[in-house]
Amino acid sequence: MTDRDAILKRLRHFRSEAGIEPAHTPDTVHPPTTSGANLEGFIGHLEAAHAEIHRVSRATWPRWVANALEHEGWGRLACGANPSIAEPLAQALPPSALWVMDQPVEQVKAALFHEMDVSLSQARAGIADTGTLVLETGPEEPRTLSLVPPVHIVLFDPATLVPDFSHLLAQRGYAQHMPTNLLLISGPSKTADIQQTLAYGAHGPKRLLVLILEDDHA
Amino acid sequence: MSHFDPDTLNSRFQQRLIDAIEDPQVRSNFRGAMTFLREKRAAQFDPSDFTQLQARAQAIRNRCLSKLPELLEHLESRCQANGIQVHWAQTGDAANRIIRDIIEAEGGRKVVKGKSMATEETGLNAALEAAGMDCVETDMGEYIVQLARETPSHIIMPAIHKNTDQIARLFHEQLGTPLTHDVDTLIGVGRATLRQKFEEADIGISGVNFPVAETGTLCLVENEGNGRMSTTVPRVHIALCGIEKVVEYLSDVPPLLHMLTRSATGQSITTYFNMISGPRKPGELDGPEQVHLVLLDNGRSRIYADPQLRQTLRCIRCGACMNHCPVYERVGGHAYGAPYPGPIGQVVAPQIWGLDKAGKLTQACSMNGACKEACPVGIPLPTLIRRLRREGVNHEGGPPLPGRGSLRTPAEAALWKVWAWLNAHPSLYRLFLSLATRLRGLSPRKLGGWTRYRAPVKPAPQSLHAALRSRRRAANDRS
Ligand code: SF4
Repeated sequence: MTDRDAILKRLRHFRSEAGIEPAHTPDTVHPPTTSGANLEGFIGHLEAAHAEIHRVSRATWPRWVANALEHEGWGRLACGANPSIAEPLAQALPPSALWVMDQPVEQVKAALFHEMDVSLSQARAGIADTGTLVLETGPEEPRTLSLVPPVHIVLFDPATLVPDFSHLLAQRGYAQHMPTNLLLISGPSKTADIQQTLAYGAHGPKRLLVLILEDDHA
Repeated sequence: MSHFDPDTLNSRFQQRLIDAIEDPQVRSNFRGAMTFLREKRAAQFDPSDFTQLQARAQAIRNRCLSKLPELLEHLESRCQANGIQVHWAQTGDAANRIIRDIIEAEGGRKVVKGKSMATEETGLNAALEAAGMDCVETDMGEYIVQLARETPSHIIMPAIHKNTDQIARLFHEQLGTPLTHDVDTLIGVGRATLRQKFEEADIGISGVNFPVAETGTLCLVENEGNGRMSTTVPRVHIALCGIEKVVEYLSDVPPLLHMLTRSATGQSITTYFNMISGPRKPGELDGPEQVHLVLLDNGRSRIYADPQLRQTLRCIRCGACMNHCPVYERVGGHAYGAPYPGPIGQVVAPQIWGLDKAGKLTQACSMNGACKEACPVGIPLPTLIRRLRREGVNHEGGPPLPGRGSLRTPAEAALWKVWAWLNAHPSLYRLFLSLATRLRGLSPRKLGGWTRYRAPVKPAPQSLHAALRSRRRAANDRS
């Protein structure tokens, strides 16, 4: 008998011996933990987790990024081959400052690990009650972009804010279709493994910048 | 000691406790850390909400366990549909073999590992080392522990037994970096060293917090990003996971995650919650080409046999029970000699490795109940510890627990028989009591382990019965 069959057989045998029935639960949806999606609460949680929040115009965010590169002295910014991000950035940044990841990581690993100062992604949603950004990775949002460069910038549209994680799963229908890698990010990488002293930038980004996209009011 | 050895659990327990108690550094490091973690957790829970949240998490875990065989089959088929290869291991050795074989078949040479207590349980590092493979721990705490050739002392914070000064010296001696006590600098050193390992690694190994049957998803909780690195950058990702952990629905994850991070480190959520549903898909530019899930039994299906002991399997490995345990706080994690220390370890170890090998761990409990109150899934740990104590000396009928009755000694058994008999015969019992109080001067001054640390026991000059009688008499005289 294979290990698989032996394990399953034992479990079934012990369960029937103990006279236990598999439970049937009609409800697969758990009650939400909060009622409303509150942007201020979302920002508060992110700031408490050491993320840097900037409210930026939806129309001119690439200019904001270009300015940030200049002020911070960041040489190169990496982003995915998502036209709605890469194209506006290409217009705002000098060509040498923008690196679009459009090849398999094996071919660009050295550049990714050693040459990028900052990366930029787009959040699919935000979770208010924990201050969490939701990233769906895929061809236009490679997994390593939000992980390897030392600074990570995330574009966030407040219209995508949901109250909590349960709402997120229901609203986006993830039970029917999960992306290869669904990521919840709630701050810069950190550790408290040395005598409970918090240090940022353990293995992932040391800084997380969240750009809250706002409509311009004339 | 750098490797866990189940054969030493009972035999070295006494000595490990003595070593721990005699080390004031251990005590002060743990006291500080436990106070910190308890306060952080308390700030996250309103006591009136907690009971309800605990009941909800407990109900989810109970439902999933009641369907365990079906959910495992479902998980397997969903994972396979997602392109994840599923393996089953009845024992820790079998799991280690499966992992070693995958690495060999893939020609893997450099292995990085994210934090995984299941791999501590199976002794994976030692098994890979024996096969000539080098496996680098990448969680900062685990990395520190590996550098020091030790084992983790806490399931969430592996290096909690060390303070900054000890870690500063360790880095200085092992990595040749200038001696510094600046934590940011020390973490920076770890980051730089491990970055290179990530970049070069071809195999990444991780644990799993919640495997989801409905979607074939592996969920990982972490703050550092090393788990993401280990599961994203290398060509092959291998996840090791206990069979009891599977959850039925994706919607079961939020309530459990809510309890896990708050109970463990007092965070409303961790920096990363990483949900993996397959290897790299066509068109994707990164992520592993292969994802393997190794489902580990190692005694869990046996634990499943007993309705009371089965509650052990609800555990979501948050560590709150050890953070609230007065014994753990004083002796620290290494005193237990097991991968899972503290109350949950005292319950898990004897059931996995047998009462004959690990049953003595259950003795390090004062039955104060703090662990049970803190447990996010309501595991009645003291009740289970008491049950295992009884199974250790009980060899008649009962669950398929290895080593049942092995801790029984003829002298102790005889003593309890006499005691029971005495209690069933009131006149003899009274005679015994009056003799004991009258001859109290003759009670032994040395009583083995008891008198090594405590005053000798001496019967009171009067039995409780006699004391009450004389009090009543005095009251009657007054009225
Ligand atoms: S027994 Fe309860 S408190 Fe202890 S680690 Fe498991 S879930 Fe956490």
